[in-house]
Amino acid sequence: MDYIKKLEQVERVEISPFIWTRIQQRISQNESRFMVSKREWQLTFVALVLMLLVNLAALKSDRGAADEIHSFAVTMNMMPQNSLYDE
Amino acid sequence: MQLNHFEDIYREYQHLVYNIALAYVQNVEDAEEITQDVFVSVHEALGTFRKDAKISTWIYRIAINKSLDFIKSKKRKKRFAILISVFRGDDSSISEHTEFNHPGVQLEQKEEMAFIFKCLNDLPVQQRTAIILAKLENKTQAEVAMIMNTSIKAVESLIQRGKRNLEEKISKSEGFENFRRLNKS
Repeated sequence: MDYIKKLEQVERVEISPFIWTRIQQRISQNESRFMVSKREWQLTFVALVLMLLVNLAALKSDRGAADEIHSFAVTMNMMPQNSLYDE
Repeated sequence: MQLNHFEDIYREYQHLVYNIALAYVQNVEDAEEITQDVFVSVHEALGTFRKDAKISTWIYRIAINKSLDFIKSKKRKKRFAILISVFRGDDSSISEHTEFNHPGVQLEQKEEMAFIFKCLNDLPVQQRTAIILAKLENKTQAEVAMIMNTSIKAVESLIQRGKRNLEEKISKSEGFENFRRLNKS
């Protein structure tokens, strides 16, 4: 008996119309997952830049304060540094 | 990538993908799941699709690979369930048996077709794919060769060997007597 001939009798069938909705849902889920991770990276980058800027500003303002103390000490004839001997 | 274009592709190839998946898994729920996987992959990879290749060939290849992956993962799950049941001492977790549910098979032929498909599923992957494409999808040997990325001669040989192996498997199988009885009646 030719079993292959039996296989040829299998009819073609149509797919349920709801599958398209499910595919769309899965695609949008995948895309939103990708968007969330993209937003996370953006936020991380912005946070790092902000932290760097705050640190730079703090360093700059600290240097200004040190200069002020130095000039004040000089006007008051005080020693502006801790070393006892001139090098 | 525009969804309208993708929707056109879906409308054109939905039945092709579904029927290929059904030919491999012979179960409506599983075939629907494979169809979803195929089109999600098509949507993701459409940007990288080479325009010189035929889109139907490309979709056929994705559908075949996804179907084979699905069967592999199902077998893996089943093996894992058996292992769990051995340690636990109960066999409640091994109820992963997939029922033959092919809507393209007529009810009166269901039993014998289930038997033929069971033997077909035991064939080596290449032989099974060649038979499915040539006999269930009615593709020419040249088209099968293009989809399987091989020569026409190789396809011819795969179909011949597949046919021979299938006959051998059916005649040696436990359900053969029952199958013959079904054919006589």
